[in-house]
Amino acid sequence: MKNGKIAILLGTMCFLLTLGIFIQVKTVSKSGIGAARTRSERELRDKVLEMKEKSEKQEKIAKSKEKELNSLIDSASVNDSASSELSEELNKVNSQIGLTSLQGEGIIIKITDGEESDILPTETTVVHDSDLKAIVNDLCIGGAEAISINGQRIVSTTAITCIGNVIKINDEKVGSPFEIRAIGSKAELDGNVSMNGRTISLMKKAGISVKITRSDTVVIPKYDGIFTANYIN
Amino acid sequence: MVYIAIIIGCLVGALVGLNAPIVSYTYSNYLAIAIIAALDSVFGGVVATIKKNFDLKIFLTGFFGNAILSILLAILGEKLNVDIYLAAIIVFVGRMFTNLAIIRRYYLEKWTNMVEKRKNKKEDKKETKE
Repeated sequence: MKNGKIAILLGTMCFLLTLGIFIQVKTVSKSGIGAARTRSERELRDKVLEMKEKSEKQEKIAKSKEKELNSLIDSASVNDSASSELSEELNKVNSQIGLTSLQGEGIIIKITDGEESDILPTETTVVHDSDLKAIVNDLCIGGAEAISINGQRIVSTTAITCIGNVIKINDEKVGSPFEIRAIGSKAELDGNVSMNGRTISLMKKAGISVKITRSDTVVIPKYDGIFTANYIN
Repeated sequence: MVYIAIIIGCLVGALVGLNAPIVSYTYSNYLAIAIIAALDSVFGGVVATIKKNFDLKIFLTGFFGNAILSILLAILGEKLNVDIYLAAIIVFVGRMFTNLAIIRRYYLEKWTNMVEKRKNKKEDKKETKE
């Protein structure tokens, strides 16, 4: 009896210890930190991570508020034909400018940076902002109705810029591997993008891995940013 | 029985830990100190077993008490702008090393004794043959 009790106690202690260690290891590896070399470095990292957490929390709050707003709009327009028409119009416009997540037939393009080689310079084997811009343009030629890159919706004000070793889209940093999703006619999109001489064929020649998959259910997230109108009269 | 419980505890802890949600980064500091304190208690427990004065009550209170106290001290240090957690780490890790040294010496002694015994036996056999 006493032996059993000891065994249970030690077992639970081992459980707690390994649980703690595993959670800690996971946390550390997810936040991408190693042991900081100096105190100021550590403090700066702490600040950055804290800010990140705060912004994530705020994003969650904003999302829940938006849901509330949408349900309020729906409930307000239930018994009124004029306002229900208006809300339908609103939904339509919102989906067109990118404020709703969409689903439909289309293609998914997966692009990964090529491997470093001794012969080719690195610039030729990585994905550049200009490549992404060209692909987006090719998709639009193919009649794409909605496009996103790594979860960033391409809207009328979207800028795709190179900032060092990552690319900035909608003021958010994205990096390889890239996943470009587009809604539109599968065949037309695929044909336009993979046409000989277009960007993707050139990238493939440079050793960048590109995979195009056709799908009937491409999901494209909504635009998370804010449209500003400071100069529009 | 005891060893089986320990192994099962470790395995279940690892499995649950792999699937558990991660803690927020602000608290991961405290968790780290708690882990160090708990590890220190474990090594202390091993040394106590070697010295044959292991007491489960002392071990248990040390395991949880040290972990909780070190977290509280770290929080207090943050409020006072003193890195108390550094002191906690130095104490715990320092003690861990002394305990590890004791464990190492114990097993080294055991091993050398064993080797010597074997030698003696061989020599005895030789002598009897001669």
